[in-house]
Amino acid sequence: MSVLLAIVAGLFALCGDLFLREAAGLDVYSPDFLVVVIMWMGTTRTWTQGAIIAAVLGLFADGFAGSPLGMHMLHALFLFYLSKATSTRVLFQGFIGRLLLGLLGGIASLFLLVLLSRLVLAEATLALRISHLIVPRVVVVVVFVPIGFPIMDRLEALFVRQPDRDLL
Amino acid sequence: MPRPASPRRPIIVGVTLLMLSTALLIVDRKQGRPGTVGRFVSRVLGPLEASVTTSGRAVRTFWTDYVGLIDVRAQNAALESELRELRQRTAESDGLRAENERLRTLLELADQRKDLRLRAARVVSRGLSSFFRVLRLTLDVDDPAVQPGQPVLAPGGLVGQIRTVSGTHAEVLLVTDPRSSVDVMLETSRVRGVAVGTGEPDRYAARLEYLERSEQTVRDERVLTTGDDGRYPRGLVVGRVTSVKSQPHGLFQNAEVEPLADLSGLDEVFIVIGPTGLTSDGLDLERPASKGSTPSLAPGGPLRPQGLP
Repeated sequence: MSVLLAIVAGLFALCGDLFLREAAGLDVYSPDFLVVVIMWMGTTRTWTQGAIIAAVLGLFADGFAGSPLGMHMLHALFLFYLSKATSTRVLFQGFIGRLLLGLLGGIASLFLLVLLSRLVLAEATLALRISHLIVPRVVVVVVFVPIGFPIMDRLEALFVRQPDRDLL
Repeated sequence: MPRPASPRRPIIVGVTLLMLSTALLIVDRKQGRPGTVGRFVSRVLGPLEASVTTSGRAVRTFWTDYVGLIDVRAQNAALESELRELRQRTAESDGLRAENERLRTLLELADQRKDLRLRAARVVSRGLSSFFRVLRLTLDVDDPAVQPGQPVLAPGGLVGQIRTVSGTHAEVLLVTDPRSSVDVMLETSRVRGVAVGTGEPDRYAARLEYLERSEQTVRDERVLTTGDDGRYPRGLVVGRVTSVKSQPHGLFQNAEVEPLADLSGLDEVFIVIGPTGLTSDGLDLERPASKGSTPSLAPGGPLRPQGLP
């Protein structure tokens, strides 16, 4: 149940991202909700559960983005593992802590995307294009992590029974 | 009771997922087009993506075409208000410019007639009657120097004479009023006559009476005051001859004069209070005249128009 809910939440995040791009024409300043959701899973989910959810959401992201299938999967998986590994070693609590986590996650996410696009596509221009987005996208992720985490905590508390979280 | 999770499980799951995604990526690159999984993902997500995109665009269209117009309406109202204000300012500015122009012309007239003591007055209304031609003036202060019978000038020439004075208001009898008569002389032909107002309802005009038939009267010739009647200073422009009618018999001929002052559009005029004791050029009449300068108001002096266009 918890996995399904997280996937649905991630799908909503993707749809929200797409909706905002179309409705508000935010373009590069559009918040990358998926990164926020995956990072949130890094702080709340187990290794196995989080990896499965990240992979599925990455697959969805590939479907939405029109990128080579597997690219966003890898991106999401790496981002989840990075977030999980960091949050098990450092405690990111409070507004400032989450702001820092958002900063790290935003930079890592963009860095991963640049790296993957350079490796997978062997296309320098795409990597360059993505690298131009670093500042606005990181700023947006930094802003949305402290806002999004408490919202998702509340949603999870509403829909997920406690024993379900301990299953995996 | 649920089984405890194996410690290797996350590693197995992680490696599997990483391999799976890498494999998908390799297959996708090798094929160059979406494979089975890619088509499946597209089929599942396609409708969702389409509906999200459509609704997003609808919201954007709604915003730009409707909600955005609310601001446009307010902006439009503000701009209209600003436009009205600017138009009003432009009108005020035009009015001030025109007034400035008129006053400048008046000052030039005053400057050209240094021999006359002039008092400025503003025209407030014109007489209602179609046959009697009068103007009503207002003075800034109640000036006892302003008296009935004093000539009234405008930049174009003679306007008339003060008929009545009441406090700061005065009534002017125009030269075109049938009650008005001015001793005049034609500028070039030197023919003398009397300009009497016609009092026509649809135009401002005067007729020249007592013009000797033997004299050659030229059309467009300017008509000047002689100063012989004791009411008007010598050399003021009354108007110009517009038509001459020769009589087959009798001593006199008839001519018509059109005033050169724009009597229908006057806003400011000068009342001639009296002589200043100077010539029109500003020379003192008491002092011996320098060579080449002749006082225009001196008795028997040459008749010439005094600085009037």
